[in-house]
Amino acid sequence: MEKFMFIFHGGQLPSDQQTPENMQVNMGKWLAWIDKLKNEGHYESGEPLLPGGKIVSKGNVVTDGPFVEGKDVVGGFFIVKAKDYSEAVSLLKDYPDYANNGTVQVRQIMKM
Amino acid sequence: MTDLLNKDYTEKLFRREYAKLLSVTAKLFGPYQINLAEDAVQDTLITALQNWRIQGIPDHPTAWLIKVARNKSIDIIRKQKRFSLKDESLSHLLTSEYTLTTTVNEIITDKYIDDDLLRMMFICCHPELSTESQLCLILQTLCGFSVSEIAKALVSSYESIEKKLYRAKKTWRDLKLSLEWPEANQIQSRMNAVLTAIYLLGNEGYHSTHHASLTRPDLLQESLRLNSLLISHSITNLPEVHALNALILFMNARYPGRINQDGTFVNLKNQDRSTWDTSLIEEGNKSLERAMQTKSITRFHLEAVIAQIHANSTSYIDTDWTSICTLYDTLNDLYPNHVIAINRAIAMSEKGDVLNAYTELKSIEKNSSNHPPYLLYPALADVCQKLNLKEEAIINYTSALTKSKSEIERKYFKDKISFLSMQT
Repeated sequence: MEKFMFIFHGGQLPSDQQTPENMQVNMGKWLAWIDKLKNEGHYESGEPLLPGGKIVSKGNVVTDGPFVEGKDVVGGFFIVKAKDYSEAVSLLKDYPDYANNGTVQVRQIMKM
Repeated sequence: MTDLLNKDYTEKLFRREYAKLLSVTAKLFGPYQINLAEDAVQDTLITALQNWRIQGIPDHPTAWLIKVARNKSIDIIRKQKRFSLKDESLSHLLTSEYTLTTTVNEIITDKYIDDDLLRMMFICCHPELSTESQLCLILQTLCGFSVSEIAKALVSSYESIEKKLYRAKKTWRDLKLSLEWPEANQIQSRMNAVLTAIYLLGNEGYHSTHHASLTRPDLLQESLRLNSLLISHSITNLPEVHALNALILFMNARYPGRINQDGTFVNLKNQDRSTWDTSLIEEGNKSLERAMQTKSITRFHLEAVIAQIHANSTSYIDTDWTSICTLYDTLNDLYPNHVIAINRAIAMSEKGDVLNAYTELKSIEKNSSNHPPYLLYPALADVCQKLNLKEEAIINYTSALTKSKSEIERKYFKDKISFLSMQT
């Protein structure tokens, strides 16, 4: 089994659709998706990320950022197990936020 | 009941928490600045969504959200160029960085949430607001409904609900309302407004057979939940609250019988009474017993007793129509209105007094020539059918058909019309 990282970009509910009911439905979809990945033995871990951040460069110079547009903001990541890229990508068919212009970057984790 | 409400809580977590957070933050900003409270709550719930959907729901969601709501509120206060509150001393505490955090933490807390929700209920039912606006406000602030969900639930348009909410909140702003309990000497009259609003919500839910909208039966549950809030507080735990509770429980219990498996409306006469929820009826009976420990009988008492007779009757024919008729007599004396008079006539007709029922309904029709309540037509049609006045029955079923907004009910009237047409 190989390990992959799913990096979630954008995908926020549009502001006029941020109703309690829609949030409930969205959370339900995510929790069901994660449950499914767990039951099938793919899910390893995942974390949400706060917006904003710091960038550190040479000489320990710290700047705020990255300032990216809404659709590019990274909201969180998963580590999953899959046979190969094609299986990893197939796990994303249940990703709940395509309709909200969300995209997922898939990266394979390098082995020792 | 607790099971019902517990299940309700997890399925509607975001709606329930929205109501709590909004009431708590409205205590800080005041209903006259409800937009600030709404912003804080929106930001809080979005943060929760992004976290919970990956990490799962925490053990104590409310406590988690309160912490976030404190920070969001502090952000909002800091961002406001000239933040000020009606309460000047509080304003001072919030505009000084030394006291800002501790003051916000003291006000935004989960210690008094039920109390805050009740204050919000009284503010929603402020006497300066129309009943319709009150219902819209309750559905938005205390039930977490969006504008389009309210429009669906009250069978209205998005624009009209949005306008009502806008005007209602403008009234809050103009009156500079704070989230306070009414004065002690006003509680009784303000309670009437609150109970009427909850009653109307339940009624909307029960009498709807609006197939397209699934939020309608929701209204019954919402009214039960709001009423149970009143029961949980010593100031509002009054006999009439228990009477209303019983009434809503009976409506809830009987709700499943109103719609057939194929989605058609079933009138009381033909309902399968085995679909009625006996445990809810039992609970309703107990509630009504508590409600009766008083000398002042309200309309909710009378209506609850009528509902109780229906709920506990084994069949339509065995229903004690004579008692129901007497109860409607009293109701009509206390609160004369056409809807009650129509229901009284239906009871008259059922106890065998069909001719008098017909006369009564005709006089209601005459006295309300412009806008007779919609209920009049099916009632009159039914009585006409009993008196073998087929053509008049068809005319009234046709009026009912054109007036009804419910697909399910319309199908019922169409069937009646074609049945009667075949016989003439």
